[in-house]
Amino acid sequence: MSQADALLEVLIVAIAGSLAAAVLAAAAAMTLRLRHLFHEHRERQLKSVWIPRLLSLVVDDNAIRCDAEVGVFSREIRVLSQTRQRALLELIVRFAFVVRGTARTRLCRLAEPALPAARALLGRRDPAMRALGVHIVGRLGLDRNEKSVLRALDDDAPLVRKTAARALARAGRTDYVEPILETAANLEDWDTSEVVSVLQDIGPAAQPILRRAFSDPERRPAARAICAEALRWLNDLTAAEPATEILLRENDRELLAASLRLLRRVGGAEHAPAVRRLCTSHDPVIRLNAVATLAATSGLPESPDADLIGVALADPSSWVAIRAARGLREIGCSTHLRRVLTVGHPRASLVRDVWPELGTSTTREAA
Amino acid sequence: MSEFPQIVEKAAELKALAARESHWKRRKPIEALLLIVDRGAETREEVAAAMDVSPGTVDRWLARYAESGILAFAEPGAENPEAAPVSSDANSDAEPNLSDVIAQLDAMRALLASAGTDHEPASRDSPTHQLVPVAVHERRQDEKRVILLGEADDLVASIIEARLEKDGSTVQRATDGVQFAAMAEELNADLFLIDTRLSGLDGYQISRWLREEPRFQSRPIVMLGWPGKETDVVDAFAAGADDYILKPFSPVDLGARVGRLLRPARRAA
Repeated sequence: MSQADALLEVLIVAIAGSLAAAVLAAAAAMTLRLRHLFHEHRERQLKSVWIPRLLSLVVDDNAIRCDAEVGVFSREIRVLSQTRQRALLELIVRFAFVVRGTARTRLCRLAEPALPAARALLGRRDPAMRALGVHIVGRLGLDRNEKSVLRALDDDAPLVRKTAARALARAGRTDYVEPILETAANLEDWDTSEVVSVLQDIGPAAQPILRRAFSDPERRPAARAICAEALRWLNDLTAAEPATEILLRENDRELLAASLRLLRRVGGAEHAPAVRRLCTSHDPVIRLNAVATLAATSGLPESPDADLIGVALADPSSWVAIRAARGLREIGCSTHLRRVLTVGHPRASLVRDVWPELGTSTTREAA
Repeated sequence: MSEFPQIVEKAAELKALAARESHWKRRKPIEALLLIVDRGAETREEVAAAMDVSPGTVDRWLARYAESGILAFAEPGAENPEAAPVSSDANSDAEPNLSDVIAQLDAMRALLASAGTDHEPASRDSPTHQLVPVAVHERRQDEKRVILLGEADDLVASIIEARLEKDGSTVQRATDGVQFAAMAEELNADLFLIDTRLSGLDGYQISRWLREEPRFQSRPIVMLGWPGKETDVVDAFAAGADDYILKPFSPVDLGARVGRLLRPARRAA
């Protein structure tokens, strides 16, 4: 066989191989598309049957008729395949998120026969599927599956732990505050505002527990900082005293900053001394929060605190200086600001920049 | 040269009106007109600056008084070059704000008013077609109540629709704030049910606008909102809402609250 023939043979094999690969890829794409269409069709079918039923269940105020309907529908759900049961649960859970009271109770009763399908998801390897399982079980059957959801707080995947915390918080029970706090403090990728929003779901009933945890020196500073943020959003006025104590005794940056933010919301002039000493902290984050809090708590233009805030205008950190400028404006002390503008202060340009956001009257003055 | 010669001519009538009117909301437009008479404000920009409102608001006040027949003005369409039809901005990418929408709606109304009563109805192709104001009339007892719902979420909307239609009302739905404002102009709704977080114009902005419009002032407004800041409820009531319903909500409870606000005795009050 000549070299040209060999080359031709290789070429033919390569073309045939490419064709075969293209045919296989096309077949795979078609199969996937058909599968998708099939699922879409099944979902549409499921929705067309179940959405009117679910609507009728949630809006009806005739309890006897609804109970009878739940009984009939439950029998139907029992004979569905596990996949269909799961799809139906996903639909029911969407309804359960927007309604409360009797309507949600009916949905939970309706979902009961299908819940084993959701529980089966908790053992899956894929974290997204486990999270889905926790989401459904937590919303539609927390009472009977409390242990499974609490166990999910220790799951390896942060997504599952977050979903479990959210599911427990939505139940509004105060005994879930501690386990949620523990999980939150262990999760590095969990944003503080996210945890705070979870704790807010529990509501004002959580305040005493959060306050206790916030004052507990044995607890990790990260968890205490989360408590401070949650108490701030819940406007817990009685948290001002423990926050002041923390300012005097603790050194953790996150905890101090969170306590200062809490005091800014709920503190008064009596808490200002503890704040004052932090205005000269070596940490700019602490200084920034201290200056802002001092402006909020002292509140009088003629108080010595105004001078302290005025000194912060010359802070090496421009963020602290901006906070100081805003603080002076908040307490109605524009004398300092005007002086900065007139005497060629190093922060004059910064004050001029932030001036427009400080208010109309000062804008006119700056002009 | 004053933009408002007719107002100056009607100074005595205007002062008599100011003496009669004690409600602060209705006094404010009158005070604006008095500025023209007493202090010689010559342009709507001057009036707007003195009253600390937008020129669009001044236009609206002028249109309101022109409509009510208390004062007769020159044709606003001719005198007010900024009063463009709604379609002129329809393709704009910028997010509409309340004063723009109000100014557009008022421009439409003013144009219609200036055209007289025997004009041809606007054709479907006309840019004004969508916003032809409907005269507010009281419904008969046996007539279905019309509720205008502003809700972006399909599921929430379908639950609310199902509940209220079960109670015998007709529900019309808008999915954003601008559409809601246009539908409010078009429909003679008996009650407004608005989600606080609508896009375009949020529930608070819409509520404030409805409360400023004399035609809608007696119409109940119910706001729907997710739990958030505690001031949300306060803001809703400050914006003129009659009730505030938190999501997740009880459909039966929602039906009862809406029913209470739709009762004739309540409406008459």
